[in-house]
Amino acid sequence: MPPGSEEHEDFEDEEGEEGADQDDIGPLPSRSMDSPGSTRFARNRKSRVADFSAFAPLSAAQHFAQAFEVNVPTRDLLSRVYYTPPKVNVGANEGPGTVVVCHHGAGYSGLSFACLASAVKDAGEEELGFLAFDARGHGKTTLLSSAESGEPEPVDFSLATLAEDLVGLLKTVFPDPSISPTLLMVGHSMGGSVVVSAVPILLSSGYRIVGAAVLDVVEGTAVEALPFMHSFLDKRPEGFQSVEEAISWHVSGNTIRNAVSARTSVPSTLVASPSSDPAWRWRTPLRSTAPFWDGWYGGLSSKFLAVRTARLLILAGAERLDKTLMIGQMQGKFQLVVLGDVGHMLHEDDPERVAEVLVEFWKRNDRVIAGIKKVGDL
Amino acid sequence: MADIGEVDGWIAQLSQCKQLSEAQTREILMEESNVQPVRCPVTVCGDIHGQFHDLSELFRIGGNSPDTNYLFMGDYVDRGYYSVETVTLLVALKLRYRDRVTILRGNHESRQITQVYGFYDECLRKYGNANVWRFFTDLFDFLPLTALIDNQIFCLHGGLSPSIDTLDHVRGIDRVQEVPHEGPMCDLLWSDPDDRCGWGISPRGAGYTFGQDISEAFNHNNGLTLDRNVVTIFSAPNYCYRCGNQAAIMEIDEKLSYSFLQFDPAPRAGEPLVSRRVPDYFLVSYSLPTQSPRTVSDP
Amino acid sequence: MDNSGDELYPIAILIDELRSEDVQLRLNAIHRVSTIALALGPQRARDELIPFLQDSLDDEDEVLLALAEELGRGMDEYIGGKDWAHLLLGPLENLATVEETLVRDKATESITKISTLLSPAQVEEFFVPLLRRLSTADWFTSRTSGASLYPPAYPQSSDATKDELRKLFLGLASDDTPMVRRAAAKWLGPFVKTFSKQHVISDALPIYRKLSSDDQDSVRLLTVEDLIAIAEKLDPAEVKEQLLSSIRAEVGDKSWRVRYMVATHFVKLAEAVGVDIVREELVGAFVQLLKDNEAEVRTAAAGQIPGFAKLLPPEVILARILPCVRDLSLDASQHVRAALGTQISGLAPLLGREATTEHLLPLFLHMLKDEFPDVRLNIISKLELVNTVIGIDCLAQSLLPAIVELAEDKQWRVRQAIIEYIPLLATQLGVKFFDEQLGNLCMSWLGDNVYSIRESATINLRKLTEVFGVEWARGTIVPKVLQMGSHPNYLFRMTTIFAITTIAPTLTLEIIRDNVLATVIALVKDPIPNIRFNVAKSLEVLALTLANKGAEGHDVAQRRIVPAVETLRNDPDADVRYFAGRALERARAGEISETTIFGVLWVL
Repeated sequence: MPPGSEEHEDFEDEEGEEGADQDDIGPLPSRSMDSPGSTRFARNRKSRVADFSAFAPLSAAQHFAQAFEVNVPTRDLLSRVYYTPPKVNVGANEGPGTVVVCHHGAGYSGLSFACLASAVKDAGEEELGFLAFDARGHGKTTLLSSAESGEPEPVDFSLATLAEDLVGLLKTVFPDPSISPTLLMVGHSMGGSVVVSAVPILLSSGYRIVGAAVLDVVEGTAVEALPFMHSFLDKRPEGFQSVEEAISWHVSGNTIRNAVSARTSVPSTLVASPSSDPAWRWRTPLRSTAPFWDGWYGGLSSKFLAVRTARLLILAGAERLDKTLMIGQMQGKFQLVVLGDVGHMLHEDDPERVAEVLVEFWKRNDRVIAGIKKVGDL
Repeated sequence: MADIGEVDGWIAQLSQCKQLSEAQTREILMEESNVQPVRCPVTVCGDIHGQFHDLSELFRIGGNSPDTNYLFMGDYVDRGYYSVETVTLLVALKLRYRDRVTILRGNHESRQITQVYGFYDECLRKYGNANVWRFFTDLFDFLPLTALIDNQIFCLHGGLSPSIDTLDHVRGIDRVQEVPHEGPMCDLLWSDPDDRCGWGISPRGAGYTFGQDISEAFNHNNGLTLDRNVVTIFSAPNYCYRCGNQAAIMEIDEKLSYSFLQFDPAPRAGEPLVSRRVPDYFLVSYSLPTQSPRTVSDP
Repeated sequence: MDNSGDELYPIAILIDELRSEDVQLRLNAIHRVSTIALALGPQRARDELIPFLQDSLDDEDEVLLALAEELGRGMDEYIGGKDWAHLLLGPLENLATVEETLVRDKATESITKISTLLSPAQVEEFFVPLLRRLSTADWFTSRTSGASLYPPAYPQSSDATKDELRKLFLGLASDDTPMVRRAAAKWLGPFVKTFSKQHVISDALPIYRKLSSDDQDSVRLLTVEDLIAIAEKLDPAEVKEQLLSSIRAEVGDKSWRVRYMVATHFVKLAEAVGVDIVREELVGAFVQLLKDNEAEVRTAAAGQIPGFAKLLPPEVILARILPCVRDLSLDASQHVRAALGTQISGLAPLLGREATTEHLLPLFLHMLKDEFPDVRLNIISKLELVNTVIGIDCLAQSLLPAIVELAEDKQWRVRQAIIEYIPLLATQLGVKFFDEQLGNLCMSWLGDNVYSIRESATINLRKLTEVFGVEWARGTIVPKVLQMGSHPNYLFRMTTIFAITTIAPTLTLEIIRDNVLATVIALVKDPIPNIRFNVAKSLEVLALTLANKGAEGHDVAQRRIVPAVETLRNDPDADVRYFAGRALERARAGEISETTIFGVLWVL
């Protein structure tokens, strides 16, 4: 256990387990010819039933070995961390192992990677550990200063701050770079940008980094989408009457296409509201991050191509590279994987396939072959 | 073997960017020969990526087939909107003028890659089923991996492999298969030259990077001589309609001296003008849904 | 198995295939729906198939799209003729409500087709109620579809129904959902065309005013065509009274997309409103669009310049339009300048010789030096229009320095456009001036590194031979062409062969026999097969040319060409043998008319 951290086996409620194997019996219309009344045309009229029994929250306990809070005074943070340590000195592997470090996107939380953590574990590589955490202003991470003053402060979501937070957290959890596990840095959406900014700092601090993986974000597409963000946010509900309703909203609207994952991750994106209507609101009001949007993605593509480690970009559905990445791909500067049948929350939608890609990526770039340089070596 | 006049008819039709009917395509695919070493003079071309109008431009710059000899180094399909027409024309030219045209295999001439980067979807859109895609990808297995111009210039889509020292090693590969994920055949189609010396793991996720020292040693071991060790040629101008690059081809004359010709995209109608803003209401795009789930990585 | 079982077979298969997991099978079943209807006979098609299609379809969009299409494709024939055509409206109405736009559009297209078959009674009984349901449905997709069905329904309806339909359409134009208002804006134009004049003023105008002042620019931009449709229905005085403020509002809209639409349709608008309003109002509006802040708008407006100028007297063009044209020729956007480049020469016939020379020519010269090649190209390719106005002499003299410069432009398409212009210049300049000023240029293109330029250069030589005569060709062109036959690069030796093949039909027997043949026949021994098979093609054309020049020509062909081709027929290279064989066959076929010789050239 790293210094400054305090173990809390407080994975919330254990209830909801009975729903675990019901996840594919949602209210989706079935294409059945036997019931002529249920036509496609009815589907469009959206008769939504207020039965949320299939959307009970699930505990994340089975996905991580530990959950703890890390005090990072240099960053004014009490960070919530979910961690499964790598097995060290096992088999042929004599080193400290590798940890997959995941940074979630805006509005989500470390538990967004819960199912991915299990999938990585199930891939059977014992020396591969897994660390996910809640970024500032997200999930169960709090600002130390606001805990003292009791006053919620406006949160600084700038890219530089988030990147320094990630660096500060890793320096606290793995204080000595020379004996630290090798890091495989993974970031989803905005988290991808954070990871790309943090990697050069970590490298110059002496950490070994086997690769940087960015999940479903491309600068060109993100920047083009920014003008539409507010109308996108307008369409999101401000809150929900119950956690189940929130989970249902994510699953029915295809935001998360995997009910088990949604039931695990969505609760941590909500907080109880002081008012009763809605009873639950978003933990992180995305509008409060608006001043930082421009800064999140500017220059991401060229920064990604410049990080001195192996580079992996996983995109959902279709290849949408911007000009910089297209040229980078033509020149063979990074690995691109396009996954079909997943949405933006690809690591939640299909954790097994994302895990498979990450593990392959790690194996390929971590192996030591005499006379063959790694990506980023001189 | 189809009748020559008939093939000439197909070529004329294809040169207008019209699709061959499925039956015609099937017939063209029936026969394809392994390619022999290439003799100069020849014009060497790189990736085309379904940019049919730019392939036409390439012929306008370099001369028509069969008057000009051509060596194409793979990546005919994916990305551009006219992969079917592009690959069909090249295959038909190969079929009709086997001594004048050589077509190698690129890493996109593969079942896996074409399902992600457009060729599969294009076939489905244009023919309503995947048969044409299946025919072509089966054909791709037979494409040669490399060419050797007058025993002097070694041409291939990707690059060298740490498991290949000599041309005889290349000759020994059983190439009639889907492009594997690793090994010498994979490397030939995926590797890249690099500024760094020696071998490196390729950032692409397949193949290797190799430095000048490696290519010098390879050329030396195999008696190859070109004043430059490695030349990279890319023949898709304004790649993916947004990269803004010029394309190039390399003309090698009968004395093995070479020169490069650069060219811009062909003026065209019917493809998106990405460089310009158009009111979004006028851009209506629709593609039929595709069925199979796919996971692939690619350079 | 009993008979009824057999009869059920087709529908059973359809149902099976419609239930298949394989989309392709379901799609096939839909595409066979008329066959199945035929097998069932009209009665059962009406009683079983149509209800089946109406009630139990629940599928992928591409299957629904196919169904929407099939139902509009003569299905009425299989259900008992047009007296029953209204039955098809049932399933189509459902399809017109789905989420996917393509399916809805296809469904309304099919409904529109079917509506032409309906009697007034069927319209009142079935079509109008359908329209009523769609227009007032809860779901916006239905209302959107509804908007497109007013133009076919209205003319066939009774007066009372017409009153109702106009009101219903007003409802769509006031809908809460922008998508529906957009559909109303899109279909108002076609709808108005079916109105009586009285209702244009009483009903269409208020609907138009509502839509054209919509909050959403995506709605407003669609009203430009409505405005034109309304203007076309009114006389100039009414336009002035009713539409003037609307025209001003559209031209001055704060959204560039709306102004872009106005600019794109400007000539049509001008033609609809009549001469007075054009002079009093639209000239100013057009100037405003040509000076718009957005390059897209200026580009669109530039495209309308000659069309709009046609409606104006020359002095107005000079005073109002030309200053804008001058500004646009210096526009910061290359797309604007390129658009102007294709249009500017269209002003020449309108301005006449003097004004063109004075005002347009300097602009041409300036734009010929534009840094963006499309601008140069567009100017050159439209010069002929100017030529007819001011005469080639004047044009050539002012443009010659620019042409010489562009002949070496780094963009090959610019060089090509110049080459294509050369024969016309040659005709006007005369042989002496031409040889001095342009002769070397024409020969240098034969050595261009771009194939298309070499090809154009050879075609140019043939055209010049037609202009200046064969003796000129013998002295000027032929020696230089033959000289390239010993070039070390095969692509240039190829040019010699191509040039000979191209100009051969214009040459005399003597020139072919004494000057050309030796060079061509020497190339039979060229080391490069590509040269040899082009020699075969060339000999084929030469033989056909000679065969047309009497006994002596025939004799030369037999003595000198046939043996050379025979040699090539035994060449080690397969392609050489193929083309030699073809040449021999055709050469032996004997006398062929001159048209055929040129025909052969196009084929080669």
